[in-house]
Order: sequence, then C-alpha cells, then structure tokens
Amino acid sequence: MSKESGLNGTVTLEQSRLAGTMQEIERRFELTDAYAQRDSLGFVTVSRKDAVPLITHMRDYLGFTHLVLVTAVDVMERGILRLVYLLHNHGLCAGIGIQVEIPRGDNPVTVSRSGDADGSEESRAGTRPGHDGDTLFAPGLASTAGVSKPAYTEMDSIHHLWAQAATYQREMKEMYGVHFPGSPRIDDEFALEGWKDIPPMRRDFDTLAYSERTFFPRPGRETHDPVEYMKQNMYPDEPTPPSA
Amino acid sequence: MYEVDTTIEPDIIDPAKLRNGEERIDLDSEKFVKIWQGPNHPGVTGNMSLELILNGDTVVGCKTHVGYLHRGFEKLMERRRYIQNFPLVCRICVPEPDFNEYLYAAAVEELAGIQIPERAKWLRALTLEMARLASFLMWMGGQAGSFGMGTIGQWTVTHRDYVLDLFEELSGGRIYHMYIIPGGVRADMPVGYAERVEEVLAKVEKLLAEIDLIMFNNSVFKARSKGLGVIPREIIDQFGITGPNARAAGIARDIRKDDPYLVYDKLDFSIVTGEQSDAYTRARVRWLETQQSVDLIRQILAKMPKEGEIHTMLPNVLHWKIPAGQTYLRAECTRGEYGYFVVADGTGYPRRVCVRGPSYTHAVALLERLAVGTNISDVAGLMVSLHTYPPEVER
Repeated sequence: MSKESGLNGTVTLEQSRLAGTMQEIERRFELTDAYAQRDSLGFVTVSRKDAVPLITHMRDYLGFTHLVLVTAVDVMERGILRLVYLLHNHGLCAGIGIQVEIPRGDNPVTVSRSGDADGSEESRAGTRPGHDGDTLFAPGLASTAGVSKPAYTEMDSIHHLWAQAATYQREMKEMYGVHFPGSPRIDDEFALEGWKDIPPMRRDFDTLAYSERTFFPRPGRETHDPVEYMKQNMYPDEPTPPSA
Repeated sequence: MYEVDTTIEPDIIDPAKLRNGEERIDLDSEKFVKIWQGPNHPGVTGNMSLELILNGDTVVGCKTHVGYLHRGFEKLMERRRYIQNFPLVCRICVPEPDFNEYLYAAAVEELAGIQIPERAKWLRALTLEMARLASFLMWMGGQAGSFGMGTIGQWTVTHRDYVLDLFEELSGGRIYHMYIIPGGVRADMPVGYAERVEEVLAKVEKLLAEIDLIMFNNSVFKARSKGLGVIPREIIDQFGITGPNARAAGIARDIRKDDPYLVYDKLDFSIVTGEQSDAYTRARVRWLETQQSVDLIRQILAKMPKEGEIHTMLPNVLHWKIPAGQTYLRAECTRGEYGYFVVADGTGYPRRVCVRGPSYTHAVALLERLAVGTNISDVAGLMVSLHTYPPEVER
C-alpha cells in the first residue's frame, strides 16, 4: 500500500485527524492505496468485494454516518471506472472518499422497448446521417446491430444503507452505465428522457458530435475567427499576425 | 347542471393498510387517481414534477421526476479549461450562485497550492452571506405564497432586489456575479459600499419584524404548517439531510461552525436549531438564520481589513495546468451542505467535477417519503418547506 503525503504537501495520513480511522480500516480491510488530501479529507482504494463491507463498517462502527455523494470518474485510458463514495464523520468533522475501480466494459446503449437502439431503420442499418457512432460510440452495438442488449458494468448496491443512495445509483446507471442490481427504480430514467446513446458522462461521448447530429444549425448564425475578425474590423491595414 | 349523487360514499383507504400491505395501489380499482404536479407549478421551485397517486385528496404515492433543466454542467466543465469554468459554475444555482463560485475556486486553489489574500477571504465571506440573505428572502416569499399569503412574497422579492442591487454594484451582475474567481475576487468594494449595505440591512431587519407578526402569528399559516412534513430525527443521517431541514429537528450542525472556512472562525454566531421538525419550525429556523446573516454581514464589514490585496497573481490561465489530485470542499448554503468534488489529472482541463447540492436528497428521496400521507393542497407548501431546488439535482 502506498501512503502518499497530501497532494498540496500540507499533511500526511498519520498527521491527519483520520489517522485512527485509517489504522482501524487498514487492520480489517485490504487497501490498495490510502492518502490524506488534507487534515479533514482522505482517500482509500479498495477492491469491489471489500467496498460494501468497508462502507458498512465505517457507517456502523466508525461514525461515518453521512453519505455525502456517490460518483464516478471515467479513467478511459486504463479501461476502468473509478467509483467514489464520499462519507463524512460529524464527530471527527472529516471525510473519507472510498474509491473502487471496476472494469469500464463496452459502452452500453439504451435500448428502446422495441429492442433497437433508437427504434429507427437508420439506426438498425447504421446509416443515420452524421452518425458515425456504431463503432466509435457503441462497440457493443456494432456486432449485434438491431438486437443489442445493454452491456452494463456492475457494482453492488448500497441502497440498504442510505435512502438517497438509490438516487445516486440511478443517476450513475444513466450517466456512466454502471448497473446496481436490486437498487430501487434503477431502470427508471433520471434526468434524461428517451436517451438513445452511450451514457453521456463517459469520456468518449462526444458532445459536439452529438449536438451536430441531433440539432440542426440555426440559420442566421455566423462564426468568426477572432483574430481575423478583429484584424478586419480594428486594424485592417496591419500585417496578419503570425498565429492567424 | 350536474346532479350530485349523494348516496355514493367516498372510497377512502386507511393509509395504514397501504403501509402494511393489506391494500395495494391499483389504478384500475378506481380508488386512486394519478396526477402530475409540475414541471411548472407555482409551488415548485425550478422545474420539477411530482407524480402523485391520490386516494381522495390524500397523497398515497409520490415519485419525483427531474431533468427539465438538465444542462450538462458537469460534462461541459470537463471540456473547458479551469478558468473557462468559472463563469459557468454560478449558473448551476440561481438563488445562491456564489457558493458554486467559491467552492469551485477553492477546490482549484487547493489542488494548485494557491493561497489567497486575507482581504479576498473576507470579501468572499461577505458575498456568501449576502447570497444567503437573498436566498432566504426569496424562500420566505415562496413559503408564504404557497400558503396563500402572496403579499409577503412581494415584500421579500422587493427586498431581495435591494440585495441584488448591492451585488450589481459590487460585481456588475445581479443574479450571476462571477465575482469569486480562482486566486481571490474580481473587484474590491466601491467607495461607500459598506454604508449602502447597512441601509439595505436596516430595511431587511424592519421587514423581518413585520414578517414575524404577519406570517408566524398568522393562524392560517400556523394551522397549515404545524405538523406538516415532520422529519423524524432518526432519519436525518439515513437520508443525508443537512442545513435548516436538519437543524429544525434539533441537530446542531452547521459547516460554518463545525468546519469553518474563509473567516467564519473569526465571527461570533451560534447554530440555530428547532425541535418540532415540521414546516413551521423549519420556517422559524430560516427566519432566525436570515437575521443571523444580517448580523454576520455587519460583523464582516466591521472586522474586514480596510485595505490589502484581493487577488493572487496566477500563471497564464490559458495554459494553466493543475497537478493531478482530487479534493472535496463544502460550504453551508441556505439549503444545507453544498459541495464540489474536483478531480485533476495534470492537464489544463478538469477530469471530473461533481456538484453536491443539498436538494439532491431533499427533493427526491426525502420529498417522496414526506409527501405520502399529506393532503394534496399541502404538497406545494411541503416542497417549499424543504427548500428544494431541482437544477442542483440534475446539474
């Protein structure tokens, strides 16, 4: 286990107010990484099998009763999603972020009730104008076009520990494509209605390409290169700057 | 003319039977009706809808639906340089944009190892308390309006506008101030600003005294808000409840006191709590905290260094790379714990920014629980009493 000093160089784990807690969880769980970001905030990394037992232990025995948030970080270059469960101890006035790395898997594509990615002929044939996404955005779809099933990566649910966890998990399924089997209303839409693309918070979801193929350009809009435009309007007789 | 058949008995179901499973919600049984409240409704702050199942006029089932204001802020931030995000973050929250500005800036500063000048800390605290004041005033009008007292809303919105005038003078913006930036703040106080702040505070104090008489002593308000939406103390942690919603249940937690940021350790104040944990108590706690904000603004203006730097020199922000790392910072806004989780990967762009708004749990899990058993006419009042704000749910 590597123990790094605080990233801003202010405190080490042993010096932080989390030192006792860290010793306790190190004794019971196998941590692959642990460090203090500052006196009142630390991060640990555990395997998937240890994650829920560790979270439960911290809630029930170590006073980390406040679930601050659950989120994910897409580390696409390593092929993983790093889930972060941020817990807070009101007594210590300190928090610990529990990190779990799970395989990223293929990009799942939301399947409509008709069984198609978006139910359209174009999608089935992969010929939707401007849609170059079957291989770029949805490798799982490319091999099984027309009959695809979502290939969600999975994580164990913690909805039984905190009521609001189910909401976070529903959001994570929609935004990152992480499935939490057994979590209430996990298949309900969260913020997106009728979404038919890869989970949008994944790094390889191209927002610009999505906008260009989803929304038609509005007429009457022009885009100017700032350097050229300023030169033309403010100092037309000057020579063109080298960067232009 | 319709003739009313008075021989038909209303088919009212005992809620206890629904809870213990003797009855189940079956829309085909004609004992229930499903209605949607929102996404646009006078009692809904922001855009959000409630899918309500009614038996008679009692709510027996509630699901919340968000997404009507999803603008993809967190995704947008990953595609913009650190400095480009600073005018973006404030737009996540209309009532208190300054908390977004502060938390984002503070997270970037922590990751980059930047210390800000002392006077900038005081100016930041000033704007955060002014934002709290403006937000409380807006909320007070909403709460009064949801129980039929629209006049109070007109008064409070007017006084909020006085606070917005102050923001406009300080930052140039009324709603979105873009004032707190990485490294400090964008401008110093104009000449005579403290005196003009004091004038507004005096007006607000006078208004609060009137609201005390007209709202909290109003028999209609008392009858409708007392006993409404009681949050049991034992579910506070289970639902992640923070802010006045928790303090009204007697939980003395306030980040400004427990984990002081900026200059709050130099200010004299105590945590406001209540006991009954119903809509009336929550309103009372917020009314007291509004007074507290007035007092804190005065303290800040009195104790603030009279001169000094307000901004630290930053590297070229267009080529600014933040060392790899991650942090979570939080602050006490009017609704509870507001937090920013920021992950840097060593490039010029954030790898991940996750915004934790207090409404995430108050407007979804908690509201779904508290709405059940409530009369349909009180749902709007209940929602406002939780001070929910949907855009911070969907970011």
